Amino acid sequence: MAEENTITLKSSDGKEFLISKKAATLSETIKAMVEEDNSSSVFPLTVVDSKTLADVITFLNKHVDCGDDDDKKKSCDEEFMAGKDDMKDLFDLVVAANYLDVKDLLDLICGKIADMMQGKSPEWVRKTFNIQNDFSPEEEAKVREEYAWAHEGVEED
Amino acid sequence: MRGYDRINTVLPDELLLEIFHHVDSKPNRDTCALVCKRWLSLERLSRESIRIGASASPDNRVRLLSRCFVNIRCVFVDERLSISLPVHYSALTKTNPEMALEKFQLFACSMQRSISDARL
Repeated sequence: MAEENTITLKSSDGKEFLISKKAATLSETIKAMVEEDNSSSVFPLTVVDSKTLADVITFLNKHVDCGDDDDKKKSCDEEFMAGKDDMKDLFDLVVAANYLDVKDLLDLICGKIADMMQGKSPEWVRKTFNIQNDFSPEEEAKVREEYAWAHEGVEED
Repeated sequence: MRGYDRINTVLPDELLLEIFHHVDSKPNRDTCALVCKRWLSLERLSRESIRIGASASPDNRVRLLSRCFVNIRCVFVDERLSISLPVHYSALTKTNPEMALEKFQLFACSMQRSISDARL
């Protein structure tokens, strides 16, 4: 591959990753960096650690390979998400996807976290995501009451 | 390291909102709102449409909704839903109801459609 078609991304812990420009610029943030500074070939990403960056790069490369084939993308995404159950990893990835502005990855991880809450109780959500319940029993009862009449969206008949 | 697996420590509001956009169905939305105060206020911000039962006092309804869910753009009134106004509504989160009402569009045609559907 010609030199000018690849760039190096440097993680917050100093590791370097070689990636094709085509894959890297699926990130709007990197795209803007490259456009701004065409002469550089090394781009430091100070808020993304090497483990997360490696995952992001895997995702970007897969998506470049898939091209515009949505079915292929979907199966790639499933493959990518398989076994990603560690909360810290998911949170790191969603923060990185947001910072790097990779919409497909952001949607994928947010969708995964949303799916985890599917059909679960507030107690389960608190336990799983380490959230302190800061409602008093009275406040919680009041919220339940308010929500009892506020239906979401439109019912599909 | 402790704390790094805590969603409220790690994720900014914008990312929690993004996650809520992926949560569909009322029971799942309700669950999110009941988790903690931060989630409740964000969940309310993220609602754009809502379906309510037909009420004898629509003005009160609209005022209530606009206080609770400040980004509401569509309200669908459905006669089939049972009505139970919350008792403590005067204590709901105070936002500026006038401002919220400006954003508020009551889609009469949707309302009529819902009502006529219900009558079929």
